[in-house]
Amino acid sequence: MNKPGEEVREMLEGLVMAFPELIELDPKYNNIYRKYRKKDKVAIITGGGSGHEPAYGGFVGYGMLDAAIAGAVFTSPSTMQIYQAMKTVATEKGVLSVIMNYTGDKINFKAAMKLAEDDSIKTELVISNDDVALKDKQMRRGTTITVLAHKIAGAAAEEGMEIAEVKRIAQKVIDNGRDIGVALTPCSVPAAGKYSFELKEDEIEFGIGIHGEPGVQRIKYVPSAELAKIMVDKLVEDLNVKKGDEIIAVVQGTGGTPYMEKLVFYRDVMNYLNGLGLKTYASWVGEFLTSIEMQGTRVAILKVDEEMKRLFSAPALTPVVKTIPMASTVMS
Amino acid sequence: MNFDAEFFRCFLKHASTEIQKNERLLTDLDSEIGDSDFGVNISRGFRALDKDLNSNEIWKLLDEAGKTIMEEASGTFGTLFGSMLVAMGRISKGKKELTINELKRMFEEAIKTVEELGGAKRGQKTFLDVLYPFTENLEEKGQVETVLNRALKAAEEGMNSTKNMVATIGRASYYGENSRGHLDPGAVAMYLILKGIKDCLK
Repeated sequence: MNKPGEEVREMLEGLVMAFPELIELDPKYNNIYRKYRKKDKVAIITGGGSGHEPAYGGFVGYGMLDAAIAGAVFTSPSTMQIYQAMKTVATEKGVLSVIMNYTGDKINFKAAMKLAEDDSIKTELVISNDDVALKDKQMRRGTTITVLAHKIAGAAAEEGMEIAEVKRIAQKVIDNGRDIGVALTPCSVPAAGKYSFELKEDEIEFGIGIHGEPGVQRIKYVPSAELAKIMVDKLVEDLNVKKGDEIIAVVQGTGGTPYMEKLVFYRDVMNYLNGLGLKTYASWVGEFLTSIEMQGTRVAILKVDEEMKRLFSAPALTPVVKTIPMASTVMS
Repeated sequence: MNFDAEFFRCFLKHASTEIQKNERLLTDLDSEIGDSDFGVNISRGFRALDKDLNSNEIWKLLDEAGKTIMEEASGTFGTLFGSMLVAMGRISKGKKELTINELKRMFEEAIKTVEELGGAKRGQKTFLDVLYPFTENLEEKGQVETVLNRALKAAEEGMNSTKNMVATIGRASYYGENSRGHLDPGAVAMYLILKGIKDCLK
């Protein structure tokens, strides 16, 4: 890195340099905003610690997010950063925050909502808790399904729906989606300079969070196809999907996974889902919500209905997700 | 005696002085059951306050101070304390002077805000264990000075009571049973903030 403590700003500057026609940066607050925002739609925002790139700046643009608020690595953005974003993108229809279930993020978004409400901005909040690793639903962390909620609720907002409707749809995505992650190596936070857990060479950390938190279980190395089965089984059981149900699948690396391995594993997940008789309406493969340089993978499935399918396939134009009508696969 | 903008300005100045004076103590307490950044972080927030206490309206004074602290001290304490001040300001809009009962109402509103945002309750080893007894003792019984002294005494006892509690929320809760035996740094900071209040009576 060039200068410790500047990495988030510099990364955001790079992102905006690459997509100047889609997004802009408020350098004082490290907020990424959609360019050419609409006045007559619900604004959708999100935010959280950095280190999960391309989240969240990569999802700002037409048909998805109006603002992404970046905290320091694995640290919640501040209330004032969030408040600034709310003031900047607010419309008459209001601002919907779709965030993940982490203490700091929740406190800061709620505090910012109070400040925005003092300015007569209508606000609503949806919190995702899609990670099946933890049994207790209240404790479950937000992960990949959050991004699908941004896509689907983003399309609903783009269509001009009112905030209550957009919120209902975001919540429906979260209620119908599940995610699980594994790590082959830990990740290191620049500020701490050490690894978050240690693994032997033949071990896999199962049920990891997105901040390098240790998983819930340690398993022995298994081939890709078998890992696909273990992970998908966990999701299918928790979500209670059956033969014939339609799903959207997301398979991603956690930051340090080679492309070849991602595609092999993606193939194995798709084949296994197919074998279970689940109908894949669409799938994404690539990197969406990573953990710095961690080697590992996350799999997420979303059980979809007609409304979710239609909105998922609606146009979007962001640095990462570019959906044109009838094309529903994304590779980042 | 009633509480006017001058009183709140004095209160915030005293709070700022006390916090900055005790930066080291707060950091040391945090290194026992936290991640050692508390003193520096919160002290930065209060230092920024020093140049920012000019309004002659109670609500504006509190609103601006709260936002400055949230801007500069981005940790949980800064967010919650800043939100508290904004909430206290919100319900005193248009008022030039407050009675002790109105002051109590303000602190009740502050507590409600903190509970809503952070989800903490009594006895979880947080600064609420200082705020509850302080606020409950703001009763209109006798001289204002006597009332405030009684409330501060209760706040101090509340602070000391956190020593024997086990943290069940926030970062200190990761220490579980090992958090017992240590004062909660947030509770100490809250007591330091409140402490100067009695020197602001005219």
